[in-house]
Amino acid sequence: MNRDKAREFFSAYAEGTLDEGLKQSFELRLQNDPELNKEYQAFETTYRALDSMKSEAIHVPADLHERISARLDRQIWEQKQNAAPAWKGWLRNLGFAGIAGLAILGGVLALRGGPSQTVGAGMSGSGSQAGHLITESKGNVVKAKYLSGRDMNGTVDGPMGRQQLQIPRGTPWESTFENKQPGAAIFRVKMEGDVETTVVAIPGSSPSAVATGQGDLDQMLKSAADFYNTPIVARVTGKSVSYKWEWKEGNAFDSLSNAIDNRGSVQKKSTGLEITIN
Amino acid sequence: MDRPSSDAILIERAQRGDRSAFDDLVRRYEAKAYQYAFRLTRNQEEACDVVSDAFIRVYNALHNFKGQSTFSTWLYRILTNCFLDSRKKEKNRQTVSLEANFQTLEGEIEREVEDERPSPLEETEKNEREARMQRAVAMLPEFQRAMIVMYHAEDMTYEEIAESLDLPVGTVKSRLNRARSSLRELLMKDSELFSAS
Repeated sequence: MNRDKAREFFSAYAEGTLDEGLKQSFELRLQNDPELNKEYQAFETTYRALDSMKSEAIHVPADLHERISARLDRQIWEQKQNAAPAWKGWLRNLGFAGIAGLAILGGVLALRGGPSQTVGAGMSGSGSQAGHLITESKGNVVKAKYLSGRDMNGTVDGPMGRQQLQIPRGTPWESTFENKQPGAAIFRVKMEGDVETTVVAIPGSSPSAVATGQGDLDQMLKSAADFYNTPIVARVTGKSVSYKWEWKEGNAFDSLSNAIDNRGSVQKKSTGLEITIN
Repeated sequence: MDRPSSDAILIERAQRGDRSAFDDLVRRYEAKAYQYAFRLTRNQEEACDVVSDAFIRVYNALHNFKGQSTFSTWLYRILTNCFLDSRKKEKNRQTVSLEANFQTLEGEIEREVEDERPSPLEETEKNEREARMQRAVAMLPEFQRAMIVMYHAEDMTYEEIAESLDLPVGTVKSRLNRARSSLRELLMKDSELFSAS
């Protein structure tokens, strides 16, 4: 057995899977070739050291599922968009104007507000509140109009990815939002310089009967939105924590209060339920 | 990663358009998929992208999945392809090498990973060994890296790797053998770098 051939058997010998004849030839070669023997010893050390890879603790990002879902939602939406090019959804407006996210938020906030007019809804106390929001809603379709009192920047993270918001002072702006997915969608709005993030869950087209669960805030909000078939808004300043929930039919307020426990509060507003997470 | 019977139920439901079943499938495999992707990329953002890309491909191709291999084997294949595609794109954006190229049994290997090693004072001996191993693995050509991770970190058999990468078992064995030899050389080089510093 020559040196190159012997090298081909390094792994099999280390694993003990060489058949008897080859094993004897290999060992004979090692005995008579100190350099190769040294090379094999180093190889075996490396082989054993590779086991350390198993013990490496790899932290999985808390928002991994959300990121995967967001990419998937976007993919599904794009497929539908390609299949139905005439469809005029909110994202088209978003792409056109670049700042629909805020109006979407406003629309959502006003969804339960009845007759169509909300002023600054949902932005109160956020420190970046700068304008007037007017909405009309029918089912889960929301028409929103936003007028900012000053220039504002921010971001909206939604099912289709991140959108940068640049809202010029005094320029009225309109958009329409609709969640056609079967499951609830999450929007996360962050205005520049604001410690608070507003998270909005919009129910999907297929209400869910799943009443119990546990997970992060987004998962809880989506579950509540789908169970009660209503948008849920949360203002978050604290860190991400885990929640357990048990939804009771017709009692969203108490169920959400129990799920949040002492980590925040639930308020009944004219625009629907609002949660504050400290 | 194998839970074949319940996987089959979820897959069947997902193939009929049940999005919640697909979400359950994602939840079931996302952590494992991420760990594999992270071991390949050593970068959190890239690993998340690789995993997201993979699940999108799974979603798009699920109707073609006939259960001839396990779902996890199929997923590993897709993850590996997404990783390789990601690296192709990265190369097109011109990678900055931190070290000179290495010459190994496999030929020249580019060093493409950021060297984030902490100072020797901060690192215990064990951690240092592991860190050196991680760096060496990260310097392997992508395909070899995937095989090494599958075998030594994911505990996959040669047969499972062969199925995942669509290669004959003998080819997997010989390539893994060469990858380990390359690692030995890289670790020796790394050791020389350390002792010289």
